[in-house]
Amino acid sequence: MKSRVVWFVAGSAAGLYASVKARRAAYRLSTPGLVDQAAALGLGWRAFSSELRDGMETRERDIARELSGATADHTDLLRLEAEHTQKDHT
Amino acid sequence: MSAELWILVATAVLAVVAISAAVIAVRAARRVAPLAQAPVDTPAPQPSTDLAVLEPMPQVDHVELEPRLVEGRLVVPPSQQQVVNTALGRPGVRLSIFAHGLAHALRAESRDRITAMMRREYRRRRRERLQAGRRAVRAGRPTPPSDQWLGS
Repeated sequence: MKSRVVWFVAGSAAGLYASVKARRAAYRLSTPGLVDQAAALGLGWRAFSSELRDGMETRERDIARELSGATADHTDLLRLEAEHTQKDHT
Repeated sequence: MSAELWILVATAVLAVVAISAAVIAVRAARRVAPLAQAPVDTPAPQPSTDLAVLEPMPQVDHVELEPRLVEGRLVVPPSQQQVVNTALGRPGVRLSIFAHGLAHALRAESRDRITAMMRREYRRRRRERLQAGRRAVRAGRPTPPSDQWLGS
């Protein structure tokens, strides 16, 4: 009796898990799902470009500072940290 | 030769190597120990109790050179900004800047943040789409009034 209950619960859980996964996979392969994935990809690309620009600007400022002989300050780091904190919150 | 014999020989060789390594390590440790235990004659520096005095750094003034005539030709020295802009425009420097930006964007923190943002966006859009679909189904097939089952 106990074995039957265990098998019943295990089968139900497996069926539920498989049905959820299958539904999500089907949605991912459907047209709206593909559109959503493309939108998410675009958002990721924009975020990546923003990060790339941040890093490039930081490096440019460092090089310009080294060339002009100015003393190093940490305002860039503080600004970047503040921006990232703001991004994380949003 | 049987497999057992091979295993026995390999184990014996391994044991010899391990014992040799242990002997060498012990000898090296004995050689290093007297050096580490040698008394240090120099006294430990005592922390100073004097107040630190901040001295201003000498200001270096950038003197812009004036245009002048050299062998009948007018030579205009570039300004600091021009030098910096020229240096930043070189292909090697541009490549270095781009590589730095790429490394910055591919840090673990940025990677995790971007992937999490993409996942959240996908799930949000999916949820909204499913909710809109359910709303449309409900609007197309209105439910009977809630007081109908009461028999009133």
